[in-house]
Amino acid sequence: MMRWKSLGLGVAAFTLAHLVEMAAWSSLFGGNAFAPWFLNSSRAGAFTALTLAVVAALTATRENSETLVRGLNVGLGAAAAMILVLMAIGPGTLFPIALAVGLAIVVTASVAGALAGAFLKGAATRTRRSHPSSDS
Amino acid sequence: MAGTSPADSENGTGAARSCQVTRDPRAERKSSVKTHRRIIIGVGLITAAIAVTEWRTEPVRANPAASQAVGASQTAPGTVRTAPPGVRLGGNPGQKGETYYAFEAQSVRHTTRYVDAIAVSERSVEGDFVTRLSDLHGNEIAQFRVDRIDGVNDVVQYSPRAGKEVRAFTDAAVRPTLDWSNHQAYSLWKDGVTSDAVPLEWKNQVMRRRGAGLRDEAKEFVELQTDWAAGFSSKTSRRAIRSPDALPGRRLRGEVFETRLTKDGADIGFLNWVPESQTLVWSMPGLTEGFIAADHLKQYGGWPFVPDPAWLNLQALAFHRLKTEMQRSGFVAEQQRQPWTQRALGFFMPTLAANEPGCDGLHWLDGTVFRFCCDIHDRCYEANGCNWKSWWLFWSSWTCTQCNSFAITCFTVGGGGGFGGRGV
Repeated sequence: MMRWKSLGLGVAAFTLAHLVEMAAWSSLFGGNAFAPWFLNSSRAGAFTALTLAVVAALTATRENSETLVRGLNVGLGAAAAMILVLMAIGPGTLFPIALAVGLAIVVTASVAGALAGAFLKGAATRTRRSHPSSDS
Repeated sequence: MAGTSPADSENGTGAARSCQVTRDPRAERKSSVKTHRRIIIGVGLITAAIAVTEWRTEPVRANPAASQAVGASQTAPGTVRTAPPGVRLGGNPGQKGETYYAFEAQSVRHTTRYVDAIAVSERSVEGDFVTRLSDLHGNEIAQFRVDRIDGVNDVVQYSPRAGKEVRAFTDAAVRPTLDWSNHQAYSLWKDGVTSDAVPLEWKNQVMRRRGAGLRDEAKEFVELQTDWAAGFSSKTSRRAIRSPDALPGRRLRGEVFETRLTKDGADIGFLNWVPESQTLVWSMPGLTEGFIAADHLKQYGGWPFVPDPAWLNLQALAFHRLKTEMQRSGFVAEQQRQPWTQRALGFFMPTLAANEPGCDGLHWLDGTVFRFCCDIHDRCYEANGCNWKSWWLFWSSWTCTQCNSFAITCFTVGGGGGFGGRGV
């Protein structure tokens, strides 16, 4: 059930999102009141979720079960990166709750993104079959 | 068998007595009155005993350290009162403590604008307070001076422009501040005190003409500006609420006391106090922002004091000073030299292990109903000396575990009460 490429993509996607949030934290995300962290600002949370969804969508295949497994792996990779980042920036007094909420967000976003990717791929395939001339 | 007591039934004389009672209604009334009198006296004695017990133990319960102090004072003169670990130390909520007066001592000038006068108080070189009261055109009405002698026998001197000088000792309950001086000078002028022939009395820590009626001081106030050392200035004024829905899930009503903090004329941040909604909102960009409402202070029965303009001005400066110091110094452990790996990591991911106001690690929930859970959890942690390790070292302190259980329950039920705030 492990898909190492998807796991790695999840780690990379979350890390990339975090670095972007760090760079543009004061201007785009949370201001200066709190440390850059995707659950400290609703915009940052949405940005991270969107990034993971897009990355997971890219891993999607035509098989729904395989898509689901890959999406879960992307989410688990992101969750691993999330735990490391939280430990690095300093766990707050509510860190288990923050991890639980974060886990729910990254896994849901990854799985939803993967399923959306599978749906789009299926739709694209159906479109090609219905218009064979356009492929030639 | 009306009027028969169980005792009568037992000794077999009840029937006979009941017959007698039936025959003599006066005796029945007399017996009934006696019984009632005994009951009333009994209830009265029990109530008095409870009241006396409560009265004697109340100060001890309010301040656990006091119980030790009582014991210490009874042992021997000169005995050192120790404060063992576990004894909670602190003042009474709602009363101004030394932190307040330490900040107040940093103010150099208070300018209070009333609807019909302006009072300006300053500290003299020797620590006295000098207040000048003038009308709205700048014409001097009176001068007021607090001669700080030893903090107990301070003397106030009121010199109206039209009248004779009045001198008096301050009340023992009064701790003079610049804001108090303005308030006192204005009150004496409003009461028409023009000489020491006018009888005076202390009312709510303010010297008033004897028998003077209550004034609506809220309506008299217009603006208070406090100038602090190092170029800081805070100004509180009153206005109507512009954004009643600024806080999610709450509707603010009535008027707002708006306090703006500046340094050398540059804006630093604001505090807004909404009396009708009992809500304090603040924002110091880069330092702190948030709000506190009465429901966050349930353990004190709401706000334990009424924030006034002087407190708002002082709190604005305190927010800035304390938060800046926290950001600058961080933790003592972090002042030690760290290995280069830690410093490199810190460059990319700055350590922020402090217990921040609001939902640590979940600050996007700060404006939601979950803020209540986080504030209670923070308070519980602060009161019981817990930290983030208390989550996994759960056996080390059951009180901390209770704080955490409360937080989980509170989050689970969507910002509800959980354990009802017990142990917080």
